[in-house]
Amino acid sequence: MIRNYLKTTYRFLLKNKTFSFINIVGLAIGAMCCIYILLYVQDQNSYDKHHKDVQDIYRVTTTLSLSGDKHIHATVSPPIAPALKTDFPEVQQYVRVVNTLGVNRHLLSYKEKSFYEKDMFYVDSTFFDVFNYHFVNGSPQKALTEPYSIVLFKPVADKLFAGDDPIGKTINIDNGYGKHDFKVTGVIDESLGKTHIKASMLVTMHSGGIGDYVLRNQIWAGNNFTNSYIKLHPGASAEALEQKLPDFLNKHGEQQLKELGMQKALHLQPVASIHTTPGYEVEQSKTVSPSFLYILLAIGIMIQVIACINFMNLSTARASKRAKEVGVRKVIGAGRFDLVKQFLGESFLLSFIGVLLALPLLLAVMPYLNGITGVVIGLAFLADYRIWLMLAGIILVTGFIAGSYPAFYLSAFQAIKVIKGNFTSYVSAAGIRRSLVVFQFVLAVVLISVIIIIYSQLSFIKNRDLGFNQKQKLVFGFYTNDTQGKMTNFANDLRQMADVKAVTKADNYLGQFIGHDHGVYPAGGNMATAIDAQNIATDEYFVQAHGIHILNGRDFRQGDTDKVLINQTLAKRLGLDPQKAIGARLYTQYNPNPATYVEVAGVMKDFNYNSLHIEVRPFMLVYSNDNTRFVNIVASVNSSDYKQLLGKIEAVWHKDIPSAPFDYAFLDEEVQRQYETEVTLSQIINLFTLIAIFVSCLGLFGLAAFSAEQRNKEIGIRKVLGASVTGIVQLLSKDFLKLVFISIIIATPIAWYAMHKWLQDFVYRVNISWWMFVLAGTIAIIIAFVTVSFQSVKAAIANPVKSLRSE
Amino acid sequence: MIKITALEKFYRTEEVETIALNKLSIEVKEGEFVAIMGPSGCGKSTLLNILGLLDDPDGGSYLFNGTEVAHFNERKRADLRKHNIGFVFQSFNLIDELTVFENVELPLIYTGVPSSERVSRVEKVLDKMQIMHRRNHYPQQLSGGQQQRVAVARAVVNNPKLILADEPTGNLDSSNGNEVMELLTDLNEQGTTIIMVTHSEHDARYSHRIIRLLDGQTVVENIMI
Repeated sequence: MIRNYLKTTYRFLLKNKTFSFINIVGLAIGAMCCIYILLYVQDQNSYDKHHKDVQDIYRVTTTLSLSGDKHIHATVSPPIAPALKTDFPEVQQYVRVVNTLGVNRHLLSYKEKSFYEKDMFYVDSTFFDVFNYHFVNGSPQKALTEPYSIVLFKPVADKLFAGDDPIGKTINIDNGYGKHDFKVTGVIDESLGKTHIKASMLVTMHSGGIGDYVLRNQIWAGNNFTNSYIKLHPGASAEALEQKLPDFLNKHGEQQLKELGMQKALHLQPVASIHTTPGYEVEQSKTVSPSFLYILLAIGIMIQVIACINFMNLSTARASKRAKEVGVRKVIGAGRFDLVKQFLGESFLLSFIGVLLALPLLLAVMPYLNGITGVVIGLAFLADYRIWLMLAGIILVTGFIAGSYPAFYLSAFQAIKVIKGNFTSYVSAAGIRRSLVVFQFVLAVVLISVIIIIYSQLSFIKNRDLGFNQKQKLVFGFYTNDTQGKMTNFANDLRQMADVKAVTKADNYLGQFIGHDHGVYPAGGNMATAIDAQNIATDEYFVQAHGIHILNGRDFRQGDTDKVLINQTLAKRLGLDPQKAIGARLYTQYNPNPATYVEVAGVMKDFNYNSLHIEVRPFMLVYSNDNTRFVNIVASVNSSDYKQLLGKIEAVWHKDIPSAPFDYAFLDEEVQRQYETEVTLSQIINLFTLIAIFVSCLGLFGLAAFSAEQRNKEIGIRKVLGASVTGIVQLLSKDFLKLVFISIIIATPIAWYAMHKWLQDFVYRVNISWWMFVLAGTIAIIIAFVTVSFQSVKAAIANPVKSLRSE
Repeated sequence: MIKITALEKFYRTEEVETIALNKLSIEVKEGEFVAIMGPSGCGKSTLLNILGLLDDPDGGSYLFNGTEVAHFNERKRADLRKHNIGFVFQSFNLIDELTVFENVELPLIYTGVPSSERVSRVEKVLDKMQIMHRRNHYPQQLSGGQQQRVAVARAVVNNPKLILADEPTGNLDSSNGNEVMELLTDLNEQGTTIIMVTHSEHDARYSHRIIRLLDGQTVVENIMI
């Protein structure tokens, strides 16, 4: 029986090539997208799940309020994690993971090799008691116990040692903390699973630098920069522990919190949820929002549903072709259930072929998709049995969704009627088909609107006046004491070049996370009422180089020690009238040190030194002539030939700083990097939306072909009676365009609601306006019209004699 | 074998009710060859469809081998049909996607005959219908006469007790038509009951008895000698 079904299906597909092509290609593309999206979502959800007893591992996080500003930090003060272990028996182990704040690059040297690396972390020796990594070389037991020991991630080890055994070797690291030798005790990779800790090397906390600072640190209120993790004993309750944390914090830090006027609370976040929980400040790696993953899953499902709808529509539209077969089968003894089985079998078969084709298709486009999503999904997924279960699931669900309606519809034909050729009343499932086409196009129009609005928001961000000039700026980094010592020479040499307009030195550059902040209060205040101000230390050229507007007062001058330039927001928050703020003293006092002050030299117009996700906060530029504080040079240039200019600059670099590799960045690109998540998101959504639209069009194309075929005789008669080609095209396209119009009306509010919610993530955002939906609608109409008119024109220009004779 | 009594069938549209069969009573004995004739719209085909359990009567009784089948449900009707009745249509109604062999094999599949037995039975019947050499061809590659021979082969492959033929020669030229009528006569001589609807007096002469219908009623029965 099954063989007979297969034979009939196979031959029917072969005979109806357009029908088969549209269905198989649609289902294959749909399945490919579904598989890739599921793999992507699975990948994003897999972070940190591989650690042993992961359900007992938590990150300690902070919420704090300071002068009315509320912050949620992924990090806590340094002494908190060890004290948790001491105070609470349910805490089995703790580990701190500390970013090298303000020291972004590290010059690694081994024998002749020397290069910069990023992402070095100071960690407690207990790191591998809490987190599991695969050791390519060495073992976790004593990897981090000795001072100045280092565990490298495999790519860095490969670069340094290229095949040599790295264990026991000594490498040198030169950075803002000085120049030190480290002993390599292990090489690890992420083959056990991905983690949210984006590191390329781990050094033990007892290695000088910020590690020393953390070890000695007894600050319980401020210094919230330490990633701290605890592992609970099996069975211990995190909720119960969390309830004890307010008392714990009071016991240790009440006095300090009071002095700073800070309210602070500690929380426990399951480590497995970190990657999919955005919203923390001082997060050490990119997170992904679950809503984005849901949107993506929804798009994947939509594409597959669109492909299923194609199948339903084309199957019912072509029912007249199958009607006789149904009748004959019934007459010679087939029951309705036999036919349902047969037609469901057909759709399962098609869905099976689709998925089968989806795999090679996916493998072919995988590198391209990975390039867009920034995630590496390799062939390894094929070895996972769950993937095969998932594929079986896709085949079954798709086969059932696509096949059930046609199966019940076709099998309901009454044998006697269809055998006599009287099936007109049956094939008018047109109402349902029209609804399904509307449904497809609602999805398409929503997706097109989404693309337009995301695109508008991204170009708004790109082109928004940030309040400073980000164009034609080159950024240079000085990450070692040696290079820092030579930066003045380099800056002076740059100033001699004709294409260079201004050169400034600073401890950071705009568009980067600003790690320096402290509370300031005007005369008569105290730390409890201080406003927390982020700051950049710089020289007298910063304002000029960035085109920052000074509202009142003046720019820095040489020798302006203890002078600051504050932004409007800080002036306002301090209660200072910008006109009268000049000369005002701003105080800071951290026990046990006495109060110090700086003096306001000028008030700057607010500019977006942070990303546009957040509002402009209190900020100041702090004058400094201490070169050891500076790690960046920003050069404002005016050149139409960057290649030549960079060539000249490189020559200067090698002359001034022969010991370090030449490295630069463009400021505008660095600023845009803050929106990488959105750019990636928009690229992913664009891609899958285009695919969804393509699959919709395939279906529409098939239906238009069917409709033209069905109205062949009518077209012939109309032409004989004098209808023009345009008239015929209009006649045939009108019905479809009507459906697209209805779709636009339904889709618009849905798209508006979805995008309104998405835009809430941005403090600075575009207004959703009517033209976006008009544009989306117009695009949908054009796409539908082009698709349909291909068939309509074909039908309209055909010789009417042919169609009339064939009747 | 077949006994219908006071059989009624109406067709209703919104405004008009047409009586297709008006308290019709007919009896057909096992082994008979009966032709049903009458002008268009007299109810011939309606009668054949009810006899073949493809349609429900609105009133009256239908005994098939002594069992009342007038109100059998879909499943029971399909079951009875596949084991007892073979159909031959004017327009052949072969499935285009299946070969000659596969078309004839189909009823055996639905009655659950094992594969090896199917092959021998299909070959036997194709041989009998002299269409064996075309076994791997598709319907559209055959002439009308050949297609109808395949349709007859399909109708008899299950050894049904009854064959219902609806204008079996309607689409054929006279020589092909005669061939098909000879086939049906042969089958009848081997014991199969045949009820045939036809417009052709010539074809009707092959039968034992002609039932003439007018407005859903029997007007006359001719016994052929």
